[in-house]
Amino acid sequence: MMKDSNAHERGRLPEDLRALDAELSSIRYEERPSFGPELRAELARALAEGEIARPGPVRRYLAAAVVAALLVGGAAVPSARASLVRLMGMGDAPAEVEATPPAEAPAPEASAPEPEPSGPIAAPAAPTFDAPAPIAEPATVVTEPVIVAPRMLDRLQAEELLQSVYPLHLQRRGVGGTVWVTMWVDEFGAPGSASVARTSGSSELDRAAVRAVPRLRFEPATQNGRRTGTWIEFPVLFEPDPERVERTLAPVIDPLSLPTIVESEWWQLRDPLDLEGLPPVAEIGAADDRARAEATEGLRRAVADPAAVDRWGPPEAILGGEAPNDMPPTEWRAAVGAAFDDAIERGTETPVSLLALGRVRIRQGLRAEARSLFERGLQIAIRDPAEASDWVVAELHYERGSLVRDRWRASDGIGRVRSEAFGDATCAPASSSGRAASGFASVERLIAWNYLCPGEMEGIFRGGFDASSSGSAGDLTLMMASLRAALEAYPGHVGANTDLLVTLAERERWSDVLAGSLRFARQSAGHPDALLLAGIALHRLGRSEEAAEHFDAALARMDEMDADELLDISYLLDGAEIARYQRAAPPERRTVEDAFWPTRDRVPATAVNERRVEHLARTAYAKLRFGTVFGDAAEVWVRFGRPNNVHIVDEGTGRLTEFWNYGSGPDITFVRWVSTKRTDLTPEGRAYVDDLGKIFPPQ
Amino acid sequence: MQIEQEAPPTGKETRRTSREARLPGEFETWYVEHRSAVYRYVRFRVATREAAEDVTSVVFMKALRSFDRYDGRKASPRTWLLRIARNAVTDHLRSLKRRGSLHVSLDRIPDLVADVPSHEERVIRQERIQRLLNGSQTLRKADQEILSLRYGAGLDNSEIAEHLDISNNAVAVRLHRALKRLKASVEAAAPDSTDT
Repeated sequence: MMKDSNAHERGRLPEDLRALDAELSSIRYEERPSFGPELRAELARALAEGEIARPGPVRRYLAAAVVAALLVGGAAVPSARASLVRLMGMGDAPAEVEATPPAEAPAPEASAPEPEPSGPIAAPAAPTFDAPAPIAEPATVVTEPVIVAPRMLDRLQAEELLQSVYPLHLQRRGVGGTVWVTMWVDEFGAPGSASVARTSGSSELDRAAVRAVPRLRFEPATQNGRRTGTWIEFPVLFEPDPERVERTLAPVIDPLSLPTIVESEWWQLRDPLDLEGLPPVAEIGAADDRARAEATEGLRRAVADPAAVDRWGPPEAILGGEAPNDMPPTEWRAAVGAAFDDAIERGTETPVSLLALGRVRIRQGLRAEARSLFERGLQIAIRDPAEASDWVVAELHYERGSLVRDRWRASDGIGRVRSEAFGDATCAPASSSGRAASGFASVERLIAWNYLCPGEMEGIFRGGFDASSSGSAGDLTLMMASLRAALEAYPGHVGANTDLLVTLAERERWSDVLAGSLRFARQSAGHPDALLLAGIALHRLGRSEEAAEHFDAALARMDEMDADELLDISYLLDGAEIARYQRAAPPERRTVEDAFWPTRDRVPATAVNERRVEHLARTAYAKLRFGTVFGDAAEVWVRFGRPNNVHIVDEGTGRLTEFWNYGSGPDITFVRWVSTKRTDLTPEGRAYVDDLGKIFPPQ
Repeated sequence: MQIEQEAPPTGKETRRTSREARLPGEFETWYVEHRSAVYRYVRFRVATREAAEDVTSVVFMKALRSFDRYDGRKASPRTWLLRIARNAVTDHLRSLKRRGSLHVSLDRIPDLVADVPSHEERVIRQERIQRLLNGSQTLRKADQEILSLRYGAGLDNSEIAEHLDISNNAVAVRLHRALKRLKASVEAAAPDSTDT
């Protein structure tokens, strides 16, 4: 950066000129790093060889044009450049390049290239790529010195390298282009820093090319037989081929569907779980902790300053993308993100650094970029399994699947209600009888009809619900494939097991949930979530006694706070009892519960309290599905159980309106915020739920 | 990755071979000390990095050729080099003028940026820099000279005074006027007329 030594003199200027002065002073001149040494060498050479009397644009003598199109995606070379591509033969015979000055330059000093038997190709020197001379017509006036351009080595590896940096999300979207890159290749064939000579129009593609090309390998240029450093300029072509994306990730995107997952052999473990013989609680997560600790080494390897990893906080915080409590999260994410970005720039990224960076990006709201990072991590791991542990691979699959899951959940079962569905309805509130111009009923109209004319709603939804905007089967397939891939890499992965089993539970595939949860329990040293899922499935399959055993085993293996949440009976108590219960400490609450449940035992003759088991099945499901037992959706779920059906209406406003149907009476209405995934009762929904509590005390 | 491991070394030491041929000791010192200022001075005046490199090459070639005629009593090495640079820039611009526009276009100035944190701000600043450079090219030569000495070569007022052989006050007054005219020029130019 230029010095700003005149800052004190800026004060003398009027204010508007002070700003201009500061602005001009802030301009940074990014000189090519190699320009200085290059010019210096040329001055010395000119002096030594007596050319100093005829100085000219030095750079042109030294710079040789190397046009070696790197094709990514099997694209054809642009026709305008086709002749130039032959210049290098892409790793075949070396080509001689005559350093002809541009047309406007003074008369060139001439020399004759010495043709080889294979017929070396003469072409104009850099940077006159816009008007290449035809290869078939070598210049009759030739110049000295003769430069044999650098020759690219190992084209296959070069293509693989470029393919690895081509962002997958751009490939999927069909975004491609040609980046012209300028790069120094020194006298040993080592590439220096590269820059974009001509943009592709996509800054991401430009960055990808500039990041990759310094890792190419070259045979150095020669000048009159001597090795020499030189500038080369060449196009890198990124040609999108969405089908190839799928092929590239074939081990990842196995086109699976739900049935094939649960029919596979590894799923079929239906032997009862030996609850007494479960490993000690301390074992839960121990393997994950070890894997996490091992993974931090990958973080250190990626960044330029390994000690920084320790400064950023505990490894689990970095791997989780979560700032430690004593650091401002935004600042922390910026610092960590920049360091891992820098690793990508330097080509030292590791799967685990990409995992951490992706999680930071998710918290910054950059979900598409995060997905691309996870996929890049997987690509590296697939190519070089030593780069990533099974746990890291599973985490990458899981995060990728979670991003798809969120998108799918934001659209699954969603539709709109056609206005004509109201045509036969007999109950017509005057204020809501108008038809929407779009042909679909507004959400306000639906909510009003729901509470004013509940008898009509079932027919309206049946006749008018258009679910054409519902989530794609492709997303569901991809999500499940990612989860399965995570489990195949690391069978005890808690997040992948839970997500997969909850998705199956949503579709009421209880046998499969049971089989999967027993397997999950075995693989995770008896993780409480596995036992809860097994309990839910057993309850739904009518095996209450076994369900109770699994719930109790799960409660015994989780910490007190989580257990307290699942055991909570606030939703089942009356007004005065609720306050007293909630004020009590956990041990006292257990006493209240012990007294409460026998009063609700539907079949006292059996060994198990069916109502308590049902309550635990509901709280457990609410906890796993909504993340907490204490939200509005969880409250309705716990109080009233699974709805008969749910209609979700989207008006494209970033919020979804859910209609939960419980048979007679109005549907219970919620608003779900797509951005935060939070689900709240609508005002009418809240009033209705409170009324239900008064009219029908909890049973 | 495998490719990284097999890539040849790219450290600076691998490029030192090009320094085997030596420059005269004093000229070597000038080159090290003043090349950057000369380059930045030139870069402020010409449209592209490539042109700046070519003109800078010409400057040092000429300087090397005239090295034995340099008189330290008349000017400091930097002043001498910057005078050669001024003439070289004038020659360059004259040759360009014969052929066409002097305007820079946005996609040709990626090497001139300000330190800004985000990509968006960087783009905005590049556009602004483009307008400033285009604006400066419409000014009289004396204004262009003082602006490029100050904001290109990075000279302070007393160094500019020495270079132009005028008083510090005169530098302040000229700079003030040049900035005023640059501001007027930039404001007068419609933003979309600067891209050529």
